[in-house]
Amino acid sequence: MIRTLVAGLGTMGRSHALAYHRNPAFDLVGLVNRSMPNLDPELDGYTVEPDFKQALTRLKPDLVNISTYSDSHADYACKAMEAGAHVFVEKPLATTVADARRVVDCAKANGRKVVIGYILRHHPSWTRLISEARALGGPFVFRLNLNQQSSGPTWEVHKTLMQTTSPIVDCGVHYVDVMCQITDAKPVEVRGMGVRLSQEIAPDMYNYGHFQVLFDDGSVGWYEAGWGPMMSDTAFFVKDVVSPKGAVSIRMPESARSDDHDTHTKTSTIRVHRVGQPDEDLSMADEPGHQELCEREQAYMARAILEDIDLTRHMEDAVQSLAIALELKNVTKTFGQTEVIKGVDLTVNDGEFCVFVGPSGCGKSTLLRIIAGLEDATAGDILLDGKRVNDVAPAKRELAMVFQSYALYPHLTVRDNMGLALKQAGQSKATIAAATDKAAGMLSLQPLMDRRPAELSGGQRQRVAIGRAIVRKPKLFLFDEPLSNLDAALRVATRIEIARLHRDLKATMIYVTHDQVEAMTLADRIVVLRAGKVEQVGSPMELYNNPANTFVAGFIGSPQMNFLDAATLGFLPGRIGIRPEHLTISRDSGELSGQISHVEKLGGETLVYARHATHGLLTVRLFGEHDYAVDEEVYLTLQRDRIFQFDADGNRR
Amino acid sequence: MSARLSPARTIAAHAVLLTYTLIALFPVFVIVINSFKSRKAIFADPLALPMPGNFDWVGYETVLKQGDFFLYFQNSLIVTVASLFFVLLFGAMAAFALSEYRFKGNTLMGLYLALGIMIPIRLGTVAILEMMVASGLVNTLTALVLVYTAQGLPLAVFILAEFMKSVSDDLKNAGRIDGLSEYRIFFSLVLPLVRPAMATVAVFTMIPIWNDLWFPLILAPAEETKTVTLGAQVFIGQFVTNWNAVLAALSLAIVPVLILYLISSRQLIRGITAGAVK
Repeated sequence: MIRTLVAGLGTMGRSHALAYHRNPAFDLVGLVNRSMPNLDPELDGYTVEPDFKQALTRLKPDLVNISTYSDSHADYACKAMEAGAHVFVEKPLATTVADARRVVDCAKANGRKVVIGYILRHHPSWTRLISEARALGGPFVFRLNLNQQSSGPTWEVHKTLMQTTSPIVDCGVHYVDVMCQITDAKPVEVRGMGVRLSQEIAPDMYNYGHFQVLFDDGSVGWYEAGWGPMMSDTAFFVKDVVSPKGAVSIRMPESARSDDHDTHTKTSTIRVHRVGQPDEDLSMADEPGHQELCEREQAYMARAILEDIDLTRHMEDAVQSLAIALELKNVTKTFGQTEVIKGVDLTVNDGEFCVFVGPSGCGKSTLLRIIAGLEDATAGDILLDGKRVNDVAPAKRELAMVFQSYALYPHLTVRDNMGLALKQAGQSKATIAAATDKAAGMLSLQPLMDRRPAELSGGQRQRVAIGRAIVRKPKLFLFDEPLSNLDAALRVATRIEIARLHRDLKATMIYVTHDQVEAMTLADRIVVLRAGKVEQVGSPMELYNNPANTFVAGFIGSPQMNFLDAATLGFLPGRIGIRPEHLTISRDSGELSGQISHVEKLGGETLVYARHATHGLLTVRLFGEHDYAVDEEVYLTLQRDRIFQFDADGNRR
Repeated sequence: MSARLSPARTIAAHAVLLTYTLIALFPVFVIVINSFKSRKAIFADPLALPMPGNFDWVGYETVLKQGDFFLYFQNSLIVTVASLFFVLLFGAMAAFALSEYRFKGNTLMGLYLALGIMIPIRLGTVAILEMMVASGLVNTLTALVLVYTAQGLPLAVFILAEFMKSVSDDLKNAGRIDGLSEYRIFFSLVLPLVRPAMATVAVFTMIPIWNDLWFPLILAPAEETKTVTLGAQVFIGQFVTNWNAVLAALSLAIVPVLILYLISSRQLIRGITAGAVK
């Protein structure tokens, strides 16, 4: 039995703890968390302790699961390995490459196993397809498609999707990723084409398309996608990899319907065909959920320890994926006497979507301009890919920026706007044409290429501005409030477009906004700034579920968190915060009484504003429609486990 | 044009403007009609229109026979166009620097340049003449171009700096990120956007230079460097003035500047009303 200690009981930590509890290979000996979380009833009887170091020295576990906040991963992992334990660590392995390298070196020095929690690598069907295909050896032919004969409501959904995204783009990226994982080769060329088979979609959209990807090892990939009532349901779901030694395919039952969503996630059988041998069918009937995937992850952990699996490549991958794109060290900026940026330290990882958010005047745009080189830092260092770039001109920093006001060159056509940077860099005409055409294809700008900015609508101008950034293939994309000048509907559409671009390009992006909704929906990681200082850095859900202070708690989440006087409610002096959805309202009884001062009915939810004598205006968020009248007396009750406690300075207890 | 005016106010406004136009155009009108009349007719009835009875080309004949007059025109054009070019070029560049870059003494430099608008350059005539004598530039067109450039710069910098501040920072920054040099940003992004302001400055600079008598008389009175305005003075004698020739010369002198004005007037109107409309 592997004696296991779990540190950090967030969503992932709790699932892992449950996985250890259920797996007989493990013996769950301890749980560490700073506060008391809600545990699954199955875990009743386990005690939670606050101090990691004490638990480690007292329990001497064989395995430590680290599911804490990412900034403590590296330290905890090294401590655990020095104490003789193997380590399972949630992704990311660390917050900097140096830390990640330290963990890997420590693992090698102590002969310990480190497994990093990439949950999707344990999705059985796709991992099986990938591993079976890799076993056959390349070069490969990939035949993948996903056609959907849709009608009625599903066709309506498709039409809505096609307002922004064509079918081949929608899922294409995932399949290209699968191709890349199988070949391990670099894609060198992509050829795509589309046909508009319906009058019900925009003139520049197409509802059928296919593309080919050429890899530098000679492999060729084909992917096809079409949506609409006219699509044929013959061979609509082909997942086929062919190599010199045979083929691997996912087989569908003949009865499957093309517009049924379960069809696409369920991959019932994998058939492996080897030349000269009978076909082998692998049943993939059990599609796991989140908990089950965690359990599979831990089963793999157990095998790694018991069977002494070589994890070198696994660890190197983790370090690689952490490679830092941008690092700010103690950056300061003063304008005259005013210090707008006060010693900011920040690292942005490769491929990460990082959002700077904060109220106006907090210095977020200045910070972005310093990264771009449009403003000089008064003190501190800016490192791009490990190189100090303080004195490098903006154009030489290999970054591209999208501005709030679009900033298109008024005297140039869309094509020339997009190609200017490459022309300045001395690229050949053919290269420029290829790059602009490719970017235009990604953003459906082809019909607009010969127009001037004055002839475009706001949304189109912003797409051109984004296209101009893509063409340069920068290491780093900078967005300066790109959606602020668009109307609400376009803003949502463009937001989706940007998110899709991030998935497609896998580029590092830094995005500045004052809108917390944009920050929450787009970011891998959010940096909350106030008055030139970083208040908190973390994933959207980390900030939402674990705000460091009242400022972050109030800024993230809409409607705003309620703040109440703590002492009067029997807590330590200071303030407590509770989100509007965690207040319950009743006409009969409850903790706090108040008078309704305003009710907002939004259809899907109802917001009730009630005034309490000492705590002021409190917001309650109710789902569905509710009839409360202004001036009505109501009682509010706080969900105790959802309360955040803050001290007198506003810092989280 | 949203505010609706009552007819009475519209008529009143037009009456005022028309009166002003008449007053402004009257001297020009008198010069032009009298240049086509005989000397006797000019003095007999200065306001009469040229008729078959009093019509006379003699003024124009005198001016055109005086062989040097084409040279005067040429001199005036060279001086005006060259001065205009330098005022616009240096004025725009200085304005760009003042509006775009933060450096020590930026505001002070702007004020210093603006001060030039308030101090008439003619106050420095003696010093300028001494400098020109010292540098051997007396009786050259270069002397005039230099003085006029200095005279036109303050207003040009002042007006253009204000306009350049209104050019979007994002646009200039986009250019920087795309690798354009500061000169490219200035010439191909900023200048086209402040074209109306440039036209305004051009007109305000051009007319005083063309009409100036003072500096040509003092710095370049030699026969081969005379400008039109100075050249017309040969017909004004101490005891006898050839009015036909003077009026004809002045009428002719209006033509080039009128053409230059018409070219830039479309831009000028855009410049004056920029921001007012829309």
